[in-house]
Amino acid sequence: MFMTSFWEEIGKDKTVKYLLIIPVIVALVGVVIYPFAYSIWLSLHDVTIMNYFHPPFSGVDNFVRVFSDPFFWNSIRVTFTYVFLATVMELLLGFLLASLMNRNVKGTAVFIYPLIAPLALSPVVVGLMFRMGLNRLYGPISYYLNLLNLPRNLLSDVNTALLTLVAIDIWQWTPFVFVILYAGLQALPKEPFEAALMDGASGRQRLRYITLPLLKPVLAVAIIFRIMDSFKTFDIVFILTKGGPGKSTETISIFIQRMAMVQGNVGLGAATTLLVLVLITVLTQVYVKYFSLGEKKR
Amino acid sequence: MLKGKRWLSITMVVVVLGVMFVAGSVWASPGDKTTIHILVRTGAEADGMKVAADYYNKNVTPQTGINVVIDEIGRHGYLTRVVTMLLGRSPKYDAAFLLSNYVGEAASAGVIEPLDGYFADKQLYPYDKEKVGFLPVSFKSVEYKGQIYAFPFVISTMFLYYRKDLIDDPEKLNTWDGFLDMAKQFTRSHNPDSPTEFGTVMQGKPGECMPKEWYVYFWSFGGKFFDENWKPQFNSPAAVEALQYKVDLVRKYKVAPPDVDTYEYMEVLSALATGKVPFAIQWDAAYGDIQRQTGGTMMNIAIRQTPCKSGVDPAAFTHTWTFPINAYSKHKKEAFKFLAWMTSDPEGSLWVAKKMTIPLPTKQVFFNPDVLSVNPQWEYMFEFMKAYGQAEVAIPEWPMIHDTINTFFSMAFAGEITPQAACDLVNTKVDDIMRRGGYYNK
Repeated sequence: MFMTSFWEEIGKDKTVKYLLIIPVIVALVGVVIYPFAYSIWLSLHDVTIMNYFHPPFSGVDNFVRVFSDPFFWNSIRVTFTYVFLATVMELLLGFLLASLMNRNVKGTAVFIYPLIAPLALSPVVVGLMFRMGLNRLYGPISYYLNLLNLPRNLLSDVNTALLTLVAIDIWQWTPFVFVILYAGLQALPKEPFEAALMDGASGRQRLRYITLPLLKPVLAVAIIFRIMDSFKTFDIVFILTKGGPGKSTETISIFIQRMAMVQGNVGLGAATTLLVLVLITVLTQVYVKYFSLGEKKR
Repeated sequence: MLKGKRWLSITMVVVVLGVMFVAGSVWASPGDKTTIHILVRTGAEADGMKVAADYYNKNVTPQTGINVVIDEIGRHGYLTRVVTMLLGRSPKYDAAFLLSNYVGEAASAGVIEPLDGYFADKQLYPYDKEKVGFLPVSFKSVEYKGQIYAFPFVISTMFLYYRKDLIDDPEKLNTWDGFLDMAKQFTRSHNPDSPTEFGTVMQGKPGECMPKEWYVYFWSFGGKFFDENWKPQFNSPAAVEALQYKVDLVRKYKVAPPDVDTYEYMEVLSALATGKVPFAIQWDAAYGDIQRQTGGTMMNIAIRQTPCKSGVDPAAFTHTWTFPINAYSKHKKEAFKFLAWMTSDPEGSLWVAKKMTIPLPTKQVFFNPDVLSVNPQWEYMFEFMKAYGQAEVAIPEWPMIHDTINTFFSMAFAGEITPQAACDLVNTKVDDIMRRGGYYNK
């Protein structure tokens, strides 16, 4: 009783309130605001490892250098291809699986656990697994591809390397989309479907006019998560190809890592990061606006 | 009432923070010992260093009062993480395991300690440097502007590993022409009776090793990185010939698996240890790994010099893993003392070499009979490096140059550009890097 009234009274005291939020403010400044401001500062200086503590001011030079670097544009192209293919395929497959599971056929629950197993693996483990599996000399995946008369050098061919990485991403992250959509489907109200059945709506019509509109908010979450996550994909690419062969799989994350950490061009890396941040922010805003407009119309 | 409670709560917060601070300070200072933290990458190095630290803490700490803790971080991206840690100016780690290529860069940033003064101090370095006998090439690799910045710790080179049961006359592998002929002989697309599908493998994945393996070809075709005025020579006839030869092994003659541009140390090691190829150029560390994987039998695998062009000397690539001391460490002298014991002490360095099977680049270690009985390949390794040892150039710009080579050579391996174009592009970029670095004006 005493303690309850003690905390209630403390809660009314403004000074204590401010005192208690200081740690959060400090954490926010430390992990978000300061690094962001520091990135801007770095991007405006010609920072390398060698002059790290006394870099000369270079204005927008880094941004000009990034824009005129063909490897930057290549990495943007590679990233967008990766994000688009991976997200679309994961959505389609995830939705298909969720719909199948949602039919509540007896025994299907057994399949859920193996289905979501890839989610439990870290990208590094997945990368190492496929690195060994696809090896031409002793990889089991390569062996079976050979038995099926299919191409075996998937990661070393500029035409197939990126598609192989996308396929691995799909293998790992489709379960994530499946889980979200399955939960969404399970939560949908039954009445609209029953009414549609009474009105003689076909399966296709029910999907288009009831399931998808009702599922839109859940789909929006799944899409935004997958876009943001695949946009910053690093581990799998780093372990499997490091951007090769040539530059065919160099995503924007690998490009930034190469600029800032391998070459030591920290200023250039910071400028690229900010450009990507702007790009993602714009894309996200457009996307959110689109989905919000959809809500209003409805 | 409220005012009293407010002060009570503030006092409580202050008391809790005070207790935590005092407890932390007590836990952080174990008696009168000084604890130093050494950062090492996960794997054989960290495992070995932990054994060395245990031995030191049990046997040497009572005299020195220095307690050693080994901290490890993963191998992927290890070097960039160490450089980032050093740039953070954190005193958390007193010394770190770093490749010699990065010493110049870290030294120019001022984040590692110059060690000349420490070496000159008999209290800190009570050993006879001549007697210890560091290989000159290893000390050269840790120098920046005439000052020593790190302890050379592990010297590495590359050998040609070959299967004795398949190759009767290994002398044929002495030249690149012989190497190609033999590779064709052991490739099924050239010789249907070949016991192996491919004649050789190589490290073609962009990263740490691909350029380093190419240097073996480059030097042994007669190439050199710079002329006397620091002008880059990456598109010299020797450079183009070396790259053309290496690319042709995969793309034209197909004597190596077509996916070698995803191969690093691990893939080449597995190909050798499982007998999938009859010979390959590989790091010296693979000798111990193959020994372990084959239960000491070595599967009839032997080592010899890497090939060369007729009329040109072979090249023994050397680089050194080193231990620089963090310039912001609070225990620099203690860290130096431990590193000195580990690399130079007659008892310590031999113990470390024997237990860790690490080739410390000193005569004291290389010529010790006990050490040689465990690592017989070291005698050959020492002679090979002494006769033909070559190293990358110890300049701070080297990581940038290394990445430039990675970028364009990877494109040549993928068939996107010709080896000539790749060499020209590398040379232009390196020229720009050197000009920006102030090595010359025009």
